[in-house]
Amino acid sequence: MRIYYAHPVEIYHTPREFKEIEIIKRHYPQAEIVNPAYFQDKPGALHSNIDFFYSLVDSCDILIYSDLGGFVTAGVALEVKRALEQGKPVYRLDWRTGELTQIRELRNVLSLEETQSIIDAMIYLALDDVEIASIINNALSKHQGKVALLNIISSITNSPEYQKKERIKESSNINILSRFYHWWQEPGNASHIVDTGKLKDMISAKLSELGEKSMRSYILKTLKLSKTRYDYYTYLLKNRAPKPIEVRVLKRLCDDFKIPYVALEQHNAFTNIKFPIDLDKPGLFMLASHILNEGHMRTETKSIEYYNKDPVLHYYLKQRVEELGGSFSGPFEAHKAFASYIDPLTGRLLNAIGIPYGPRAQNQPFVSFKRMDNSTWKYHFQATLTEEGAITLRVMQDKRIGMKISLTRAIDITDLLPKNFVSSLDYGAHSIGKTISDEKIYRTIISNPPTLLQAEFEELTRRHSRQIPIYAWRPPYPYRIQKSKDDRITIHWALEIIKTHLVDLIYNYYGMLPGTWKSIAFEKRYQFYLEHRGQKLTENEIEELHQIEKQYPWEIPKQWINQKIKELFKSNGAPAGI
Amino acid sequence: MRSMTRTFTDEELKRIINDLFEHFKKPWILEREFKPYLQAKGYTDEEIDEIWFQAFRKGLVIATGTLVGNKRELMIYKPSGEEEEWGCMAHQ
Repeated sequence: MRIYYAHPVEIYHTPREFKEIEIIKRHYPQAEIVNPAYFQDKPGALHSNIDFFYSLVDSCDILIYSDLGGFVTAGVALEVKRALEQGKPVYRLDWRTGELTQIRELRNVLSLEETQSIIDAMIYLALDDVEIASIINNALSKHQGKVALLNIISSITNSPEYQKKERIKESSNINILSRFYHWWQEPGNASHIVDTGKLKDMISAKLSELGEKSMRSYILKTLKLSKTRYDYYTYLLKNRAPKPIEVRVLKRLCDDFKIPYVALEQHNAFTNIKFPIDLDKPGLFMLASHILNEGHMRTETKSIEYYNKDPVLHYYLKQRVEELGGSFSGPFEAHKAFASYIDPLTGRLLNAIGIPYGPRAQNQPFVSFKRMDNSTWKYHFQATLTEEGAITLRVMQDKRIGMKISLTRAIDITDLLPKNFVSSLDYGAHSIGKTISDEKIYRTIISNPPTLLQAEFEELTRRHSRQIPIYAWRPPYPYRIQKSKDDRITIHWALEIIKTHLVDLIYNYYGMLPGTWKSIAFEKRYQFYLEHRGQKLTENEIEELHQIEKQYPWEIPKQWINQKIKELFKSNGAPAGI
Repeated sequence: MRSMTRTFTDEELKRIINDLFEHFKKPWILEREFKPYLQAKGYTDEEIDEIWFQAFRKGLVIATGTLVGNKRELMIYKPSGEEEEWGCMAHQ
């Protein structure tokens, strides 16, 4: 089955697009998703040339679209109409709830001019699509369709009361359409404390707006719902006290009383958390780096797990979590490493910026470092080098010293490979160069690199492009193929930095996270490399190198671990050097 | 499946690869660059596939992909100087 995924251009290559694709895959795991964003660079694929996109719609069996808070943007509307005319099933995707709803006719279609003016208004006012849609809908119902939408958008844009000045920043890590995490994105069984007094007032206002006599008659007579439902709402709302309420209950209550979900946020109905949660926090992206490297996010209701032998890295993690207001526990001794745990809500925020649940090699993250400010990007690279990097110091054949910095990441491409190839491969890890004898299979491998490593390489070259031409870098390449006992094929890729001036750049500009054991071991090796490179090493110097390797092995000494645990987690105050 | 295609000797491959990198004067060469060049030299599409893939298998080049616009393309990379001595993990 082929699915055409129609969505506003503003969503292309954003965490929201990542989430929407995740939802489509969840509903249709076997389907091929045709994403117009991937055809942007194709000749003739400009969005002004709708025929090209019509031909893509025509080649699909169904169409799934997303909109801006219920308003369908001009380009998406054309594609949806095309599919409807051909009698194809069309579904509206709500990325915040994960729901797909079949539609048979299209409403709230925006013209090109209206689409552009809504986008401009969102950026100017720092509101996301559901927030601005709620304001527009209120204005539309006030004017009862007598004022043109364009005029309404313009008057909203010019009203200072709507601008969220506190949200406006010089640089932003995430675009406005993915930036806010609303309460109804939470899983149904998550509970939040709600000011039931405010909720009761909102219900009363809605009932009078609907011309209803009482909640009782509305529930029992108008909606014809059960007495149990009425009794439950009465119980929930009594005493006007803050009360924990499950998200699924709140959503049902809003649906029953026709209260837009966003209204609960506008009335500050939550007392434990301020919704929507702003995801544009450097700390969240810094935490993401640790989780991408050494974390495990299993499901949306389970704690995130983080494993590492170095207590200092756990301390970094703790700091990031606490800055975000999340809860951290650990480190606890686990098999071969320490384990720390982070609350599931923080995990859901990480998921909202592009970190998927499940095995890392199978579920590749969404990553775009382009919007990141320099310090967040620098932190990402430092953390990655510390957690995933390997430093090799080698005496070469001519007795000169060489240093190699490598980063490796993996991707599961089982589903892209021919079944006979998968079954013919022996279990275990094999060298790519010695194993792959079919050029077509090799092409499949190189067409599908790990998204994170590829993004890291692109960003590294982009950030330093003024000093270093791209050709100076060695591009990432696949080096190992691995077949697991459950017949999954994983390809391991490496990014290697060998040239002296690039090694210097990595050490001087980035380095590793200060205070970690690996950063100390790196420092000692780099100093030796710096002092001796370009000259033939004497026997004494080679011995000196062996001593450094013995004194600062990559395996962290137990005594150092114990000391750091004591310093960082069993006493008060931040340690020196972090 | 590959038996119909021409097999190149190590010397032939080395010469072709060296000529290629000397011609382009850069360490990365995209397939869209080397293919027309080799076609002009008289090689067929099958022979060109054989050249880059055998050169990769023999460790003369690193064959990988790079993003050109939104599309990944095959490219070959020739390690030089200090990189050459480190070799390539794909063959280790």
